[in-house]
Amino acid sequence: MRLTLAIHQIGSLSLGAATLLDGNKLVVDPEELRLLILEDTRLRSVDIETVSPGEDCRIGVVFDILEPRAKESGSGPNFPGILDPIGVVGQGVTHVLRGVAVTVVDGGAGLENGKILEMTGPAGEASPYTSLHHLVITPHSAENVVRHSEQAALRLASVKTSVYLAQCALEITPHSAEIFESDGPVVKGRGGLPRFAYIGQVHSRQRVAEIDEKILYGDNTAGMVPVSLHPNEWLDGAVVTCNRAMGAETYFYQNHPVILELYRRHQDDEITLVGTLATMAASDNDERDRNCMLAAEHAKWNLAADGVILTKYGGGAPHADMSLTARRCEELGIRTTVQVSDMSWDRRAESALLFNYPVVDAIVYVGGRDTDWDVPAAGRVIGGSGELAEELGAPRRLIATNVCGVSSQQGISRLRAMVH
Amino acid sequence: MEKAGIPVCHVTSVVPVAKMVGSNRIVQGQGIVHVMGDADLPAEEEKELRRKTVLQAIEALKNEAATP
Repeated sequence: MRLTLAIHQIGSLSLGAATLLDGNKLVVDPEELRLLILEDTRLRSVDIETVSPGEDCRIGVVFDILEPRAKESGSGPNFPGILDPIGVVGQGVTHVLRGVAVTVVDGGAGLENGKILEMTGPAGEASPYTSLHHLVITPHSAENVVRHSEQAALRLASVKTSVYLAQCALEITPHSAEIFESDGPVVKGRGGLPRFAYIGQVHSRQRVAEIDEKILYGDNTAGMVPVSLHPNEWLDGAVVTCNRAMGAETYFYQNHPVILELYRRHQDDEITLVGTLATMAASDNDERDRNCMLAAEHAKWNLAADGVILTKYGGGAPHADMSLTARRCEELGIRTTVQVSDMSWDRRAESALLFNYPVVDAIVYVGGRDTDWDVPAAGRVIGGSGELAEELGAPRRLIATNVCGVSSQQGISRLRAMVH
Repeated sequence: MEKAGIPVCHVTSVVPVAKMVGSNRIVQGQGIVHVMGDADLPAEEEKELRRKTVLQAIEALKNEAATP
């Protein structure tokens, strides 16, 4: 499978009379975008604003952040199962507006444990999102729309906007191209190189997914067993975050740090990237035992992996699923590395981890709730409502796990943990 | 609580974490969102399931814990 990302580097973002890409300047017609978003009758209005890199601005509660991307005609569907019909992604040409993000605000979410985008200050400096131009959309739902339908409308609006923006680049020659090609587990001619796979959780059933919650090719993952995906599928719209994602945004599925690093080493002939598995963290013990066993079996007998990288999703319990999968892999002779977030409130090393398997000893820290910042009032605030914006804009304590891009389950975190 | 001399039984749907934190009487519960019951069962069957889980936990308390 071969995917070409046609990269259009964007230097500025503004609202204007027509949506177009002029050199590196992206102009967005808010009226045309508004009409597109409001085709969804679950929504009655939408606010559309731009935020510049490093601006003194606080945004919340964030539903999701996405990179604007659109598939070339004949290259496959955009966000299949959500926007376009089901079809394989990860092939052909996808145009990318690099340097821009679509940030969706969820007006129906409370501030407690809600995700915040902090564009400046020490918390902002720890987040890769602060260097981007954000098109912030705040959809407001129509009357009598139940909560899960409201969230489904946010999801649809998020992918619609992502594709709408990038479509204006389809006829324009990109600045550069990034090519991702892997023949998967049957790859030939790479004898002697260690074979690596990625096992990533895409949901945790500690929160029951809504019937219309679209996560993997539009599926809500209920009852899912481990699913084999080509690495390109993660990068190209097969997976989005769930309705209430902690430390994960669709932007870093599209730019998945683990997959991109494995690809880099694959292209440098250090390793062979043989494939990935999407898993979900279980609701009960049997489901956990079954899924962890099946994921390890997949990695061993279908991917023939020598090493795997594992990431988790959601809160504390998914550490159990990730570490048990790693342990099963180690028992089958596969070396593992797991990415964990620190679950302690007391900054003590012994309460930081939720597992203790001597064979699972390669552990990478990706930020946790033990880090926080006291931040002053924000110069500009984008909140879901006037009331929320007032509360959000006041001086407050920001906890790393609640700030987008700071504590990242996907592995983009710039935080480190030290015992002293 | 064990250290204070009060016997404890831990009903959980995440047994690996219970073991890791040193719970010494563990009873397997249902799902994370409903440890003691199961919303998918008819009311009478669910009541029976809850009763069984509680009785199993009480039974477990009779056992001498190896490492309190």
